Amino acid sequence: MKHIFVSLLFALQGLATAADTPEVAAMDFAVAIKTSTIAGAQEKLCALNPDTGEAKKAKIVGAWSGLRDTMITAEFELADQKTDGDFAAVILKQADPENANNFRIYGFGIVKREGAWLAAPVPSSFENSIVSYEADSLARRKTIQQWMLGREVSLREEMQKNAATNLLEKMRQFMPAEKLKTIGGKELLESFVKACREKNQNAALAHLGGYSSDEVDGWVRITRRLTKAFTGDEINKWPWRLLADPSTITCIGAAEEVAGEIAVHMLALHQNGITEEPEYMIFAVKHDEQGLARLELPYVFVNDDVTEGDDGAVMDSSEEDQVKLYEQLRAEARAKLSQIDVSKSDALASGIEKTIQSGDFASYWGMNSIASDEGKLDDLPMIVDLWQKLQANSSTSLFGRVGFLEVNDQALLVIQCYNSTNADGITLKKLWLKREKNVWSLEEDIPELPEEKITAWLEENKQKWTSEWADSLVGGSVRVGGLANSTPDGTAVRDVFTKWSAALKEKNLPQMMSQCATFNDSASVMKMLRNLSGELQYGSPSMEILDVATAGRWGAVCVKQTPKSKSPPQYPLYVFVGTDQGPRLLAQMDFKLDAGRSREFLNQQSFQNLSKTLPEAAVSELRSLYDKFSSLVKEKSAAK
Amino acid sequence: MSISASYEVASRLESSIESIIRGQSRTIRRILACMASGGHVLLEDVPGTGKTTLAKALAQSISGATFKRVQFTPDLLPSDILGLSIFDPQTSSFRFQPGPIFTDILLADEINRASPRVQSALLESMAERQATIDGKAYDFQGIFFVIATQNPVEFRGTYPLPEAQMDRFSMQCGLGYVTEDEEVGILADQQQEHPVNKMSASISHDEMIALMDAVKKVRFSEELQHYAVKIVAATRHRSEVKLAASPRASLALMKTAQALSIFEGRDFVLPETIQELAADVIAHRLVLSPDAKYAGVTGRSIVAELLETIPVPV
Repeated sequence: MKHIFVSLLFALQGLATAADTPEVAAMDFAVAIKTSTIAGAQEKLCALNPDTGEAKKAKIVGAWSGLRDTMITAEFELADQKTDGDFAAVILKQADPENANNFRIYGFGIVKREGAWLAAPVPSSFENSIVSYEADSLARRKTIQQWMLGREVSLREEMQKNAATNLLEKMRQFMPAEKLKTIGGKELLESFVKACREKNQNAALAHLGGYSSDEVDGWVRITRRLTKAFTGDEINKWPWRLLADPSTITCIGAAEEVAGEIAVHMLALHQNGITEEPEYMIFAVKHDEQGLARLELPYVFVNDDVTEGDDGAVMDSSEEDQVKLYEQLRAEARAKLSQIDVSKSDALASGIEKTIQSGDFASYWGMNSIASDEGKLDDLPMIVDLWQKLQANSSTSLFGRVGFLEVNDQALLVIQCYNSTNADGITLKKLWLKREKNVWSLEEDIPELPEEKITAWLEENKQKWTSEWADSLVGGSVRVGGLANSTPDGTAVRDVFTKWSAALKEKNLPQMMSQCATFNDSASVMKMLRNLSGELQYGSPSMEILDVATAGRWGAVCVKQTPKSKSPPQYPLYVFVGTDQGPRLLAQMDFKLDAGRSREFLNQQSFQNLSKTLPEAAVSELRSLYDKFSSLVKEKSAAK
Repeated sequence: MSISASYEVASRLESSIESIIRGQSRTIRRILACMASGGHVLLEDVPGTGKTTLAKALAQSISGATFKRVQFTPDLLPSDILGLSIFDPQTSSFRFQPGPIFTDILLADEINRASPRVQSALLESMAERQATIDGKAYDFQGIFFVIATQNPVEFRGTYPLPEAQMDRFSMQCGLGYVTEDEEVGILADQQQEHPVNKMSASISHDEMIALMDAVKKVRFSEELQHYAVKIVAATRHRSEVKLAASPRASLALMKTAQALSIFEGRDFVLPETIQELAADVIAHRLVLSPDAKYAGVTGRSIVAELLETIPVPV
């Protein structure tokens, strides 16, 4: 595969886009290695000598891949540079703003060709670049390369030396040491949670003994766990998500002193918690000899072998202190809510519907916890359980109300749901509400004696609701009865595609829908949803627009998708139509170019299906775009 | 250390391990030879065949030898293996905190469960006997023997070791199931307590290092050098082989054969020693063509065929 990439890139040398300065050339090259495929980087930014052998090309590709693996998410910055005539050495650095000891140094040889600068293909060298081999040129390159290698080492040493100073400075910016002398336990924990939510490892360290002159118990383990949590994916998993996920509902109690030990208690409820109940944690507050406060993390945060179900400490509702804290949690959650009149079933139903659609767990939980005023703490896990069932892959699901009926003390809210991970069609979610003492609340299940009027109403409409897409569900997309008689604007098409692909990157199905159009029939909607689901599950985050064109009533964007795996790139063609809201992606059309015979058969099948509903002229216009882009993609593939 | 003294040390070590692990004497000897040659071993075996016990027994047989076990999981990071720089508030500076790789014997359990990045971190360090962390190189002192395991049963959620990385391992072998009688013996041994828990050291750390040095003195004749190279080179002419064994395989074959000879009390290598080790040393480095795989050809069967066809020096 490496050979294929390199050959392709090599053939496309003519497309190189050189930079005005060595710094820009190095930056572009580094960014391309980091963000694009290796192939993408070479295609645009590399001065690979055409005489380079296949084996060496493969090694170069391997070197880029290795370099990309070591890169961190921080921006590239110029660390140093030196220019000598047509040669330059540029040293870039990456410094993680949230972790002072996480930095990288990269050297790039840069050569000038025809008045513009291009990066040499091998990092930290001029090897295999298009350069002169005259004695003077060789000597100058050798000198500048030696400078580059030496400077890389000295810069790394400087950064290592400065890392501690930087860390202390960053700690100070968030939490000055002096403040730790006076801070209360509650405030200290609140500040620590804020640092975790900002994913600021430097700041987090300041709360755990980063300034302490005493030997902090288990310091190595604490910092190792903290580093692992903040540099890997652990921050998004239990237990760290209890502190770091902004959607976690938390409540911190006042610091308490028992037998000379100060402790702060915290309840945290995460929407995906397997216990479905708030977790109870105790943070000890210690003071060192200089009076600086620090937090001692609960067991689950500093030990490697902890599991959510076994080691998480669920709130104990028989403990008065914990129940008090829990009441505070509910009060705080409700305080953040806009006013909801729970004496009216429709108000609660609308509120629930809105929170489900927006994925706002805190509001959902807050409004539903109102019902537990009567001491029904046992009902609350059910509320979380229901949320988890509804919100499985929330951002990739769609929800829309199809019906609501209140009869006496019961009400039923029916929500149509589409989940992209289960693209079989519509599912109905039935949420029962009940009224007790003039307060409406969610029911865990169907009431023992459901109102006959409601069940009859449900039966009567069920079939319709599971076969017809409700506007409340797919209303984000534009429904069109036919094709507009105007050509979509190319620039607008590109803009819409950019918005759509950004939503795809965020895996936000409702946002993706808002850039789409669909014909106004059930099969078209289903096809659109299936194709969008396919994009969400199998689409690649790396998409490069090859070209945008319009013809007749259509617009089209041809894209190169590079998978994360080493599979070959794909070339989907996205089709756009004009609507009264501007051009929109007709996601039900699913063309993949140069993807083999079976795929070509499917593409032709799509044209045949279109012919059944659209005039032949319109289909021909789309075919002209298809043919144009097929040729473009074939040309690119032939270059392999 | 003389060869005879080395043999005595090797025998003590071998007896010690055999007192704990039943019914695997030839495999154990080959694994010990791999360790003495400075190589690393990949054990591909089902769970429960004694991989961890072997690693523990090895560490406990050598006084002063350190042992670490790392369970590879998808969320493991390279720093979990190599170590990381930790801020020391008392000195206001960063200091390096070595990871588990800084040990004499490392059991890397289920290596194919970790991401390729983590695998690379381990495998590259194994090959170079050093780790580069934050731009600084740290050498591994002492024995540094890696026993990595792969579980062949489960394929879901695993990252197969990259083909090019497989030859970082000098040998690949399996302990396999023991016979019924031997299994009964295992039950008897462990009725009260696992014997590895009360095991005492049989050789010193220095003796082990001396044994490793002595391996280099074992005679490997020119004829045998040609023989070893011929076996390895022959893999490059087989149509079933997509990626053949490299000179690294010839080197590993020589070194492990030298080491195995000491365990057999000889100061020279015999062709039989090369033949015994060839499959363990070469087979895992071969990448077979899909056709060959479907036809049931294995790396081991190719090596076995080569051993039958290549003339043995006399």
